[in-house]
Amino acid sequence: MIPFLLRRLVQSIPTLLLASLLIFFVIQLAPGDFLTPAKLNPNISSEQLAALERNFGLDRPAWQQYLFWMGNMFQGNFGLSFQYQQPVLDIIWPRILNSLYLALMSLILFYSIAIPLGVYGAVRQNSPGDNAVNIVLYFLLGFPSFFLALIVIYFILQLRNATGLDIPIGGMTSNNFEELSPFGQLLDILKHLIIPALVLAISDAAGLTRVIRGQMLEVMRSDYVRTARAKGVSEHTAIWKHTFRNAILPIVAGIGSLLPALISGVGFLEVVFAYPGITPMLLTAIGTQDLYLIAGFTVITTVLLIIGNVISDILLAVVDPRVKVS
Amino acid sequence: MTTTLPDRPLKSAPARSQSQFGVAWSQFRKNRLAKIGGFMLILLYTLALFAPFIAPDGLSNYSTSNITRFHPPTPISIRDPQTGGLTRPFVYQYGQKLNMDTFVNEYKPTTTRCPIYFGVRGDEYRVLGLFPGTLHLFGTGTENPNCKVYLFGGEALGRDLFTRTIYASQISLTIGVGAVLISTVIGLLMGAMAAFFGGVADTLIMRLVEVLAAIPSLFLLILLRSVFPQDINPIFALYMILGLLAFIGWGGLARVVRGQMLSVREQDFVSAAQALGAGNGRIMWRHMLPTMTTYIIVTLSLSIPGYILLESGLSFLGIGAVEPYVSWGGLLSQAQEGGFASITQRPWVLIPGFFIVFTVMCYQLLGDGLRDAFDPRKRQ
Amino acid sequence: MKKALFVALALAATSASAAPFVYPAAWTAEQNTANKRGGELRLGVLSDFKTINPFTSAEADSIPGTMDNGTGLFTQDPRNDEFLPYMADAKPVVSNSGKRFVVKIRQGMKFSDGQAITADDWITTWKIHTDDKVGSNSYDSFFLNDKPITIKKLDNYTLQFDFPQVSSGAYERMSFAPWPDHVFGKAYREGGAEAVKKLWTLGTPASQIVSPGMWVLESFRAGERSVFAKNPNWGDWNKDSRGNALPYLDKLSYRVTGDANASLAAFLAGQIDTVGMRNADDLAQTKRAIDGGSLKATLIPNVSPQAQSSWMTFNWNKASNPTLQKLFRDVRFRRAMSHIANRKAMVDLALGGLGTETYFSVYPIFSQQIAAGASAPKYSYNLAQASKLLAQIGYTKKNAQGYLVDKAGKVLEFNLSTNAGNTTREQLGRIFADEAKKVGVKVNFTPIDFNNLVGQLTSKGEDRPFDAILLGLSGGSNVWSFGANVTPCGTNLHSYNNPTNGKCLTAQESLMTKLYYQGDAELDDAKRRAIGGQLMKAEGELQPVIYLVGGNYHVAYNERIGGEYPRALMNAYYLQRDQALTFVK
Repeated sequence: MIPFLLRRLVQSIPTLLLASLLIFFVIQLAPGDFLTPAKLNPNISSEQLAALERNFGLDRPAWQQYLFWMGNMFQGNFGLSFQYQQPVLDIIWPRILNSLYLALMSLILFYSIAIPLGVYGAVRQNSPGDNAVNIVLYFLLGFPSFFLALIVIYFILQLRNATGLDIPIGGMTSNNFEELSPFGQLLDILKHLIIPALVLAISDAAGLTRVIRGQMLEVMRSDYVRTARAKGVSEHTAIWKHTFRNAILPIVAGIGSLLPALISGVGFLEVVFAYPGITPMLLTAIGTQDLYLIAGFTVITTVLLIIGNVISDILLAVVDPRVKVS
Repeated sequence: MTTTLPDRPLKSAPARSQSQFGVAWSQFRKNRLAKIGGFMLILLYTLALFAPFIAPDGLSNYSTSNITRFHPPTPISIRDPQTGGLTRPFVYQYGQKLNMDTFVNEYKPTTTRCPIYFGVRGDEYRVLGLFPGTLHLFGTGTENPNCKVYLFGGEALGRDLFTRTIYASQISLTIGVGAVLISTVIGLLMGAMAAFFGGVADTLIMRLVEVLAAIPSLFLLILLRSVFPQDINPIFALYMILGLLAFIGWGGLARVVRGQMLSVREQDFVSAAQALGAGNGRIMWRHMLPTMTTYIIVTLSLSIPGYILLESGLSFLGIGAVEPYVSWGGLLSQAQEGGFASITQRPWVLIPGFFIVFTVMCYQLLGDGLRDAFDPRKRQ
Repeated sequence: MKKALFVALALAATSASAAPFVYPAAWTAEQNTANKRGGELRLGVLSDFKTINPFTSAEADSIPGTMDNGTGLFTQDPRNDEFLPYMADAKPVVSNSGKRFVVKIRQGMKFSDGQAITADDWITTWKIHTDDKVGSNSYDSFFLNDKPITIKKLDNYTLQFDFPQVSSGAYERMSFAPWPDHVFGKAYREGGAEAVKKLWTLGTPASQIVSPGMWVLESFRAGERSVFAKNPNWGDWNKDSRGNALPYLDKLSYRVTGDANASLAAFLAGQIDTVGMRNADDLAQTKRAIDGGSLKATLIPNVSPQAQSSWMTFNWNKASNPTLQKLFRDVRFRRAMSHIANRKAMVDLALGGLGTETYFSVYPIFSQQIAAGASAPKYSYNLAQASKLLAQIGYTKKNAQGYLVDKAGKVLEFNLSTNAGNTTREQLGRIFADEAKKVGVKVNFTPIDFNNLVGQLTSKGEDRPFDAILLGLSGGSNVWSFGANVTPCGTNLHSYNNPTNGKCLTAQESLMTKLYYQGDAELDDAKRRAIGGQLMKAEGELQPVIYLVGGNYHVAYNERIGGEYPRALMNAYYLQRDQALTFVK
């Protein structure tokens, strides 16, 4: 186990280097830098701009900036964000956690919608019910999530007006959050999470539902399930014990690699629901060319991907006795 | 991106490919939903191809004296209000006034009638940029320039939304297909190269795939777009976005192709070809790649909708087709910008959104049907 | 008993020497006669706050910007724009022919942590702002024409300001917020600029933050909300007209809404108390909610024009293209372009019918200055006149596509860019390009990246990389409403003519530069506006920049809050209310 982890660690270093190099130079290639908007500010002189450039190290060539940054990173220092004047990690980390909460919540809803529907689709393949589920899911999949979110917010607003219920329409906490008990705070956050998470889960459910349906169909026609049925096990056991457990193997194994995709996947919804996740902040950072913030985030997602892949490998070994971690 | 990609290539025997397609076709024909999806897509693409002919107006026509900002859709009458008898279809010309109490720009029909003609001469255009024409499927002619038919209403500058939606389909329907085609070619090449040459090439390509997977595609796209100058020909900007979409999307395919190739390389028919003295290129193209055909067809049809959605997301963030050109995503993001007003005051601006929904649905149904048809274990 | 009385007397004596600033009753339309206290004013903000440090903050809406609310030696009276002594005890003693100001500081003012506010706080703040290693955004406001303004402490409650030259903006420049010497001064003396920059980041606990103003930070949740509590010591020297301590409110909160539509949604749902109305759509949505009974709010449309401009500038420095350079330098061409700009259609289409046509660099909201320049020429929408002017330049023939051509057959064509993503500007440009086509001018309009655009606009030299740019500016003062780095030749945003040596090219430019400095040094308001009138006349004749349209300022607020300005005082400059006089009903 430990040699395996060590090997993965060593293998991941070139990926990390390559990713940071790519991002760093792509940002550098873009016209202008963090200080460009200041040039339009009627109150900032050119001497002042030059001084700021020196302070931020933007007057040095890109490769020097990169090496400097790389050197610091190996000591765990991701640099200062230009906008916040604060270490990048301090700013990014709470945001990533927030995004992770939303992603996990939506993942739970996602599986609890997709698995029953997928199994149903396989058991009643091409029945009117299967077709109806297909059409509805594909209809929802077709909505760009920002569009769906606008419609959802509109209807929540109507619902609020009609019922007087305090349904949150954005953010992560209520105004009186600080005064709530710890349990109340948890409940408050859940209340804010549920709607964006549900929108995300529903609009994406089609993909996984289809995969599960496909996997189920494949396994259901395999010899051992046929044998099981021939032996006279009940339909319920045949589906859930023999088929389903094998059908979800590849899905379980894939969970780990979803990690970075999940964090960025909740992106549009975070923007529309004013959720304090990583995407709204990163979009601003890209807009203002906050170099180290963007580069730091990329390194972190790369690390997450590597961790996710390792988790996948371990999970696969756990659920599938034929695979050994080595 | 969320599409229903099969997670592993479907196994098929290349030797029987001809008859296999035959089997698949007959399977496909049994799937009613897939057939409907395919038929609708053919219809949509035909519409896009003849967009300038079908659209009653030019892409960017509006008047600065006769304001038609957010003109409501005009109902078409076929009965004469005085006599009650049937007449040539017509619409009324509308007058506009900003209500200073409700702040709604109110449109009321005037008594001026605008007759609708079929096969009418109007705005000049070129089909496919080659064949010039002035003939339009329908329109109000040129007698009264303020007379216009607004099937889907008007947009922010008062341009006909139906016209713009139809023109936008040209971009929205091709950008997904184009990006998928290019990324498939890159993915195939890279995957095949990695598998065939192994060693340094393999490591390098696979690391690159990992890097592309690690950086969230949305951010990578925005960053890459910002590198290219924005003051370029709008058409070229579209190709560039297409290229960028393709560039970030080939990783997954390359990985699968490489895996498949590595397993095929060990199989007998490849060893046989090698023994017969076939060159590397020939082995790759003639013997190894064909084993991937069905996988590729299915992947293609299932990843196109993902790209259509991604493009609309990019338009939402302001990276997309440049005025006067527009895509469905662009039209929808303009509606989104209007906020709730777009839902309560002018719901017709959301129509382009439903074109996206509909197209994605059709592609999914088609792709699903194809996958089931090619997979022997999923046949009925 | 006797002792207690003595103490009470002593207290009365000290509070008498520290006379409070009394908010005039006329500053609010709704008197809080019942002295209703407590409650929270809930506001929305589009993007997350970046720092608490007043010396590194560069945002429009910011935490230090909120905490410096209710500070400054002088404050402007919204009734007549005059400066009243605020943290100053009285009007300054002016000497050295208007260049030296000796200011007595009001006594008895305290920071939120109880420390007295004294001359040292101003001196420290000034020193840190002017240290270029700190990189403060206020750096340049302590310089006039590159010459420093110096501040000297005469005693604990007296400051002496020395200006390098006479300036009408002196009161504004003196009215910066004093930050605590016992926090920043201490760090600065021990660790210099680096130590100051490390203070008060978003990671700093709110309990360590000290404010001189009305509000002090109470809690902060990244990306979500910042809550401010009232500074308990501020009410000692800020009273309403009945002698009650201000502010009435206990709290002020900012909720991060992310985008303008989400802000509107929060306002309509009653979650925030006021929101900026961008356009007719926002007004219609609000009106609908009010009429539908789901929202109790006050809506006042078209309060004033916005304090901003949108304009088009033509590049006079195009050595690589002599034809265009000659054209852009021709005043007849620029007047023709102004005739092409269909400002009414721009208001109707791009601004939804609620906006103001503009013709000068002075924002229409500065009505006194606009009135002083009433005789300045305007070149309003008139395509026939535009064609006539273009014919005079030599464009008489049109080619097969309907575009004007010169004698050599070259099409009259230029590129116009604006920043991508700003829908209103994209529509303005679209309308201009489409109108220009009607007279045969080919305008290639492309929205481009903002940073790129700014780079082009502010470039210097004989061959600058653009033809024409459509952009906007905001910010500006009602004292002297011309831009310090816009109007004079050789400055950063003198966008139409910016050669390497920074010299003026035309007589009008030289005149405008001269009038700019003359007006800035004129202390009498009426005389200064008269000079401004002459400047507007020169600007109108030269048409160096074609001004287009500006949106209108609308006010909307939830009925639960009171204490707004009377209607006559509301405008885009002073906004809708003074937070000190705001109360929850």
